[in-house]
Amino acid sequence: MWISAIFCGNLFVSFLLISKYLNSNVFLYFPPKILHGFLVTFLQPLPGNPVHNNMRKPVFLLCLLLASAASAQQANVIKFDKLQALIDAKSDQVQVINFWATWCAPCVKELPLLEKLNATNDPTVKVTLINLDFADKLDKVNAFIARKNMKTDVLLLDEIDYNTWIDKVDKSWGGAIPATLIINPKNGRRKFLDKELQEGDLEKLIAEVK
Amino acid sequence: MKTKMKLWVMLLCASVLFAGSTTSYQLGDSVSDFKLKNVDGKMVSLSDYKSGKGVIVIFDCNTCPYSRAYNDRIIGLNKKYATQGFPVVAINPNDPAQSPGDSFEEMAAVAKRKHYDFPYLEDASQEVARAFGASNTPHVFVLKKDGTDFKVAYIGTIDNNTRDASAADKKYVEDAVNALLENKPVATPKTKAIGCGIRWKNS
Repeated sequence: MWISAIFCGNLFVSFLLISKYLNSNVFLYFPPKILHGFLVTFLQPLPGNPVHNNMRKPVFLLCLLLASAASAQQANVIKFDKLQALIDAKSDQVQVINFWATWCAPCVKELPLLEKLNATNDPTVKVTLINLDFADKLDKVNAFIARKNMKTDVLLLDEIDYNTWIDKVDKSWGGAIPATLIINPKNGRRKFLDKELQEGDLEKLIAEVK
Repeated sequence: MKTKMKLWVMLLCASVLFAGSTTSYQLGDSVSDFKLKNVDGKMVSLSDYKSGKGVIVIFDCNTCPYSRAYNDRIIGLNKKYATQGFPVVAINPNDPAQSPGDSFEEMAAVAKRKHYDFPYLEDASQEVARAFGASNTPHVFVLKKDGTDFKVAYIGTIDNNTRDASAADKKYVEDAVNALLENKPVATPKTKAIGCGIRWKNS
């Protein structure tokens, strides 16, 4: 069992290395579902051996975690100038900028609404998630993104001196999250909401700036 | 027609007055007395502190990572300033129904584990947090005693580095209290900070 586990781990690393080397995504050739089945087959416990049964779960989960982490997108760490550029962007798209953190329960609760909006692929709307976890928690943020299978762009804003930038996002913002800023660069209209989004709020706010 | 106009003007004035009365404390405002239950079961009032120079009121909680990051610094503020007449009074405004880790029992456990030598009060009705206009945790209000009144002298965050106390080079609350102790104006009386929004009760 351990040999198979190590084999699985090595295989994975090799996959990743090869994919990096070829500058391509290994999961185009080995979709996660196939890999999943492969792992399950390889990690079957030997009958009648309780040790193997005990060991199976964590190793399996580890492999699964690796698989999902590798297939999902990652958060980019940015400084405020990048966020400022997003706020000032001269684009035809309505910018929907949401401030959140993995530790913020109401933020996590409203994320599906933003994911749903992003998934509509509406060419007139661009959704960006500004993550406010500490920069040394990047791994935790990436694991969260993988676990929730998030598709929306996530930028981790590494600016700990909040008073240097909070007012530049919106003067009315007290600093509590979640918060959402919606800007229409074409007419300069903007909406700022510093509370939890409810179903339909995003669509309503976007309609208001259009 | 004229009487109708008058009526409208009166209504408008009334609504403005109403709006004014419901807004939260601003810098320089006098704070109404409050009475809340401490983790030891005893009631604590702001007026209990009238023999001091002021109070550092901190809306705080058990569960927010920002509160946890600042926990030792809050304990440190009381150690440094209680003897100088500016003790800390911590108030937890979170609704335990939404944040079970902020129940009265959990508050008592944290206060015991961290050896709080200051009150940690339960704002069960959330009325005190509303009156102050607290929005997140931790959220600090430094009150200066002025005659028999307590007046708001600083509103905001503790310092400019949540993650690392040793890297903070703007210690807003300490600077404010130091200035008040020397009867000087507070240089930065208002700041903002990212924090966990207070978990308000579902109305």
